[in-house]
Amino acid sequence: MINNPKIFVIGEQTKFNIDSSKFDELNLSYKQFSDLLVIDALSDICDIVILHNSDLNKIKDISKFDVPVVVIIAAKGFCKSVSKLKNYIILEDDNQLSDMLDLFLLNYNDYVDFRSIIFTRHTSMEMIDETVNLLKDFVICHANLDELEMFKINIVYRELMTNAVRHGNKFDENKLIQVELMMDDQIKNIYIKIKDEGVGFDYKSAYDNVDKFDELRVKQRGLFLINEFSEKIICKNNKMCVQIKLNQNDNK
Amino acid sequence: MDVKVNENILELIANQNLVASNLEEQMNVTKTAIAENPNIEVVELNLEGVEEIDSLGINLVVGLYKQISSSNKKFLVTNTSRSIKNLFNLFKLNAYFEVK
Repeated sequence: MINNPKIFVIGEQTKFNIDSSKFDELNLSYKQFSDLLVIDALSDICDIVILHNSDLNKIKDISKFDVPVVVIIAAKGFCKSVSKLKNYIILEDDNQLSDMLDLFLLNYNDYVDFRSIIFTRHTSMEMIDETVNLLKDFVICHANLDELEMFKINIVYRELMTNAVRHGNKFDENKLIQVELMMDDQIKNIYIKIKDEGVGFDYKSAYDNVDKFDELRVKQRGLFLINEFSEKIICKNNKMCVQIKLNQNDNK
Repeated sequence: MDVKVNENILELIANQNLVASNLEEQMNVTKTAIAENPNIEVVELNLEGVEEIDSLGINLVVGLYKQISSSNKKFLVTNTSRSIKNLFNLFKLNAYFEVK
C-alpha cells in the first residue's frame, strides 16, 4: 500500500468531471492542471498522473514520461501514441476511476510498469466482436506476433467472454462484464481478466469433467482451449484471470 | 454463408467468421441447403472467408460432420488458414474428415 500518493490530474477545466470527493474520501492529495504541457516538469515528482480528455498529440515526446502510473480517461478505442508509454491504464470513463483508485492503493506495485486497458460492456455476443478488435489493437501496438500467436490470444479471449455472456450473465443485457487487459513491461505476457455478474463456478472441477476422449463432442471445447493456450489460470468466483505467454521474435 | 451446388457436391462457403455472434444465421443457411439437396454425395465446407473460429464454431462443424456422415455422405473442410487447420488438428478432427 502506498502512503499519500501524489496524484496530478491534467485536463481541461471545462471537461473536468472527476468526482473529487473520492480523492478526499481516500485522503489523497491531488493537484489539477489544465495544461498538458506541464507534465514534463511534473513527471518525476508524482505517483499517479490522470490525463482526462487530453489530447496526447500535444505532448512532444510521450516516451519520456517517467511517472510510475499514468491513468488515461479517454474515449473508446486505443490510441497508438499511448503504446510508447512504459506504463499506463486506459479507462473509458470517469465512473471507473473510483474503483481504480481503490485498486491502486491496495495493489499499487501491481500496476507499475504495466500497460492496461480496462473497460466494461453490457452482455451480448455482438459486443465480443467489438472488443476483440480492441484487444488486437492493444496487442499489435506492443508485440510483434505471427498469425498463430495472435490467433491463440484471440481465441482464449473469445472463450472467456463467451463463457461470461452465456454462463455468467446468462445473456442478460442488463448485466455487465468488466475486462482488464494487461501487458507486462517486458512484453512477455498478456493477462486477461474478466469479471461477470454471475454466481461463479469451480473452474478446476468443470475442466476435469470435460470428456477429452470424446473427440466428436459438441460441447466443452471452450475450457479445453483456455487451458491449452494459457500459462496460468486463476478463477475466483465470478472472476477469471489468465496469463498467456507472448512468443515473439523481437520487441517493438 | 453462400451455397453452391456442382453436380454431386454441395459447397458451403463461409463468408464470415464462425464465432458465437453469427453462428445461428450460418447454421440456418446450412440446414436449409442440406435439406434442399438430398441427392448430393459430398458436402464441402469452404472456410476461405474465415479468419476466426471459436469453440462454438468448431461445434457447428462437428455437428455438420455428424449429420452428413450419418447419411453416408462425404464431408470435408477446405481453404482453412494455418491457425484454423492447427485447431482442427488439436481436436484430432482430421482423423474424421479431411481438413485442407
